[in-house]
Amino acid sequence: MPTPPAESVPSVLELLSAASNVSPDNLARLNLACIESGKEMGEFLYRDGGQNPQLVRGAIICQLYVLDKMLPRDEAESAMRVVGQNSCPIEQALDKIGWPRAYFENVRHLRDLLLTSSLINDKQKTLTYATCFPFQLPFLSALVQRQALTEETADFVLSVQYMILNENLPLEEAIDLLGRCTKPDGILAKPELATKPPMRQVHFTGSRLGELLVKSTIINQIQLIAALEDGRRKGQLLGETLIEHGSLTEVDLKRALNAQGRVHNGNLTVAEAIAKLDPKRIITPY
Amino acid sequence: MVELQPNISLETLEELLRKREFLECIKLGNTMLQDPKLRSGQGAATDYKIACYLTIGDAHFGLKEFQSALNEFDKARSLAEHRYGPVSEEALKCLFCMERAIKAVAAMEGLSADTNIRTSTLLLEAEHAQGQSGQHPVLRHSRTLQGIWAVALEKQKGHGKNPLISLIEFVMNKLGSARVEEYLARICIVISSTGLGCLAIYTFFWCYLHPNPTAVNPVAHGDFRTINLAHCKKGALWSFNTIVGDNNSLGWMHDGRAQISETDVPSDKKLPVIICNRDPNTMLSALISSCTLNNLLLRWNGYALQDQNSVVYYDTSEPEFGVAGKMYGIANWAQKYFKDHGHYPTSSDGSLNYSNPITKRPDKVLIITVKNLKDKYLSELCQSKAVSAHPGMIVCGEFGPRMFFIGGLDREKNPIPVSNGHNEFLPLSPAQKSSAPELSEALTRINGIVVFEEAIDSFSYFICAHTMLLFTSLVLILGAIGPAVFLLTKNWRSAVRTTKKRPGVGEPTAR
Repeated sequence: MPTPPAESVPSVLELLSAASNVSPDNLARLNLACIESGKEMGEFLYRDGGQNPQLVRGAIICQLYVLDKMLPRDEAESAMRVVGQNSCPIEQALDKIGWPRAYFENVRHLRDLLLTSSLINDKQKTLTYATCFPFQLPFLSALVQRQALTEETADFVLSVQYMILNENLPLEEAIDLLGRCTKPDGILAKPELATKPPMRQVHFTGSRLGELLVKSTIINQIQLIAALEDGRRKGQLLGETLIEHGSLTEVDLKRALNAQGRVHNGNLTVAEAIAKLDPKRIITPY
Repeated sequence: MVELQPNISLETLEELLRKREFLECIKLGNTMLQDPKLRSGQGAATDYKIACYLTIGDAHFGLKEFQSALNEFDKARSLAEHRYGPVSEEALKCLFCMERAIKAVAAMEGLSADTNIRTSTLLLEAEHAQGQSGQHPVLRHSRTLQGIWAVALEKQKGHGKNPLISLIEFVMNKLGSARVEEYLARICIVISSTGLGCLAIYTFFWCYLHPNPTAVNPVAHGDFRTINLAHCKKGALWSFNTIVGDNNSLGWMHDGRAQISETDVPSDKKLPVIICNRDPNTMLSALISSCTLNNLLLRWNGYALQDQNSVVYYDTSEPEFGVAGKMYGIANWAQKYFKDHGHYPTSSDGSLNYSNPITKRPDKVLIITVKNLKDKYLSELCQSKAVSAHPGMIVCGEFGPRMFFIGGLDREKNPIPVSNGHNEFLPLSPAQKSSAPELSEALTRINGIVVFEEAIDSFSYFICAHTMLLFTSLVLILGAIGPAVFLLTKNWRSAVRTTKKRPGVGEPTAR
């Protein structure tokens, strides 16, 4: 997928005209009437013009994606045309035109978490965008490769995000947790939290498949993060994604799953499971 | 309903927002969001969180932190959509806040749509120009409508436009701008004023070098020499010949027109004649005629007609014609003398007698040795040699063996012009023709004749003597006054100052 160019954010009116073929004359009149009313274009069209709320919502969401340089302008107009024809939510329209919405939504979610918890700054975000977007690479692994985030923190971020998506963790608590993580330079993301008690203590069990594979050095942390992030948006299991990425063979997956099961049943400790797995079978990352 | 801490409520946040204490509002809002009851609560707690996010977003907006505001509004939208549905009123309210923030962020990062910028600019211009006119908004912004329409058309046409058309549009746009109008008006004023100044200087010098001749003898009405057409018989041709070359003649036709011929054979070219007397209509006709026609202006100097180039047109029956005939006879003799002797005659070669046509008595041709070629005026030459001038006198000057001059005086002891009006002598040189071709060429360019029966002022005569002068002057005056009035009417100076002081221009706004 080519890099979306830094193009101007289309106005709501432009996107709506793409959806419903408004003539230039009427466009000008609408624009004027909106300015006279003193409202934003979307609000004006919805409240005073009786415009379909799905169209208005779609236009504003498209603006948001274009502003984030995730959605090219022409694709935004195509999506608006689909909304205009089917009166469907913009999410469906974006899926219909083939835009990888799940990937970009995941990136936006991770970005909001990391920026709000001060784990990364705006410049790091922009640079990582430039790396990730052309080939839709996993956002967190790119941050780790850029050394903007440690591997442990990235893994923790993924775990926290998983809990947020499952509604097991409120956003404020998640930010509190992430703000206590350390940056690559060893400093806390939010140093002012060091003196405060955490809102919630979260414990992740060590029997997870990914942790087992990393500790037994079958895969490395970056491969794990990339697979977790990618699998989450594709709705795949971790092992499935690792095999798809070429980080893991089916034989190793079976052995790791067997060990994980035995740990889960209490027949084996984690240390014993790691020892049983061959530590020399690391496959070169993709 | 979730109970919040007693000192934090939404009203408190809104109060802080009203007081523009944005930092305090954000801090308090974040504290409120971390409240355990709100954190873990569902239902009404979500409403509080939505309101809280919106308030924090507004506070960020007040601090011009538009990206942060956008993030807060986005959180509120997610919650509202999750609780009430994507197109619910609550979710749309958050969405419209987002729209406001998106617009501000795009404006800050220079990613606004061009159409919006142009629309806003055009609107501001139109509002500024129209002021509080009280017209209907659409009428008030009619110029803006055209501008937007043009933008919309431009968008439709796309980018594959002919570069020539783009260039023309660019030039037309530039020409339509107030600054270019003002610039052109100033240039026009400068050029026109300079032209008028040059014209004034030229007028002064022309009038100085072409003094208005005064009639020695008053013109008697009915005298044939004053072109009284009542005396013309049908088909009559009265000739007024110039001295030069003895072959240019000016004749008057019975139908009021005139003709100029180089030889005795009349040409087919008939010229309109305007006889200008005390009647203002005739003067006006002469002035209007000078706008289009290259006129020959004739004035009566007492005994002959004289044009604007000081060429004198004598009636063939006048004695000055006889003097001129004698002069040409002497010229032929001098040329023959040169062929025989290798030099022109000198005062030591003996005297030459002739019959003076004016005094009707025998006279002697005076040959004077000229030592300085600057003595080109006959009267000055006579004075330097202490010669007393008399009517019909012929004076010759010799300057070396190869230069010879012949001059004659008329009845008023004025030199008879024999060349194009600027030379009082008939100059001779070996193998020279006696005619003056430049005069003939000047006469062929004439396409109208104005005869002044009465003396007129120098300025009117100046206007009549120059074709297109009146029209050019009118254009120059209009070119100077018109743009000046335009600039005064537009009051562009104050307009520029007001534009600079216009509030809000260049600032990123939420609208």
